[in-house]
Amino acid sequence: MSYASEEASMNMAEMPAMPGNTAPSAIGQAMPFRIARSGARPLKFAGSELAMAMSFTPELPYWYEINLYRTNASQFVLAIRLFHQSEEKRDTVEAWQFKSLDEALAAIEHYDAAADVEAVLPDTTGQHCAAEIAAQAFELRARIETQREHYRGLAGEILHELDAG
Amino acid sequence: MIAEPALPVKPAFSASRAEVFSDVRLRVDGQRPVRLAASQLLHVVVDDGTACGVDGAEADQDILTLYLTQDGDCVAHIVHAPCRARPRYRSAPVASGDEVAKLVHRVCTDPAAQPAMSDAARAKEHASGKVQAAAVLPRQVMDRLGPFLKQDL
Repeated sequence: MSYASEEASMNMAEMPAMPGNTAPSAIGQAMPFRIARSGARPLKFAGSELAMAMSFTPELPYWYEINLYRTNASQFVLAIRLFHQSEEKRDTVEAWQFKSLDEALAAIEHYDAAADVEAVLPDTTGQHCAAEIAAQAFELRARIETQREHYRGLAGEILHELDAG
Repeated sequence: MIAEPALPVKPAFSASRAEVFSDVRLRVDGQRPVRLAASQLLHVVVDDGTACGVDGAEADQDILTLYLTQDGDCVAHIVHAPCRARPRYRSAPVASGDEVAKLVHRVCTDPAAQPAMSDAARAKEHASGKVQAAAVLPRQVMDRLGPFLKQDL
């Protein structure tokens, strides 16, 4: 599921990307935002949300949400959130501020979801043969690839919705 | 159930028919949309008729579209929507029917495209025949590709 404001859906070639050239937001009043980040100070800004996409699927144990904002200072904020169905796992939020829209879109493309995969070390107290260790490595690699593909699908969705290109 | 192609297959490829070129914007996973000035050569939809789609796409559905670009290149676009998983969107330039075949196979049969599910759920899927049905879809796409497999694009 995704949405983009009419403003964000306009041809990106026509959309001013550099500070100082950006027209005032056409989608309501700017709001104050405070995005709590994992391992960093909260990112505070005033602005408006340009687009959102989320990959929630009931059968999957996790989903991503991508939000793109434009600040009143004509910069762009990207937030990538990872949610887990399980209450035992901690949701994570990463957010960055960029000077141009192109930089924010590039960050969506280059985000590596492999870092979100929880790597559990095998129980080293037990007896494991080499084949078992190799099988665990293959399983971990498959989970990494699955997570990357999942994120890439959402990234493609929001970039298509934004008509970026 | 195999849906009829939205457009008839054009029997001959020619970059000289400039009047048929139009702006095309292809959704692709992980990157910005691919823009082409292109003519549609082939559009194949293979659908098993189930309705368990995710995020707007019909599930258990594979869609292959071939485009001829204004520069005379051929570009394939594939949508692979397995049951209860997020659909995949891929696009790549192709120079031959074999390359199209490889691309279809890679996208539509990649295990990573299958939803993450418990062993019990996976066993249930197998028992219901859904997994086998999903595996048939890429082959049906390939069957429809028949005339393209024997020639350069």
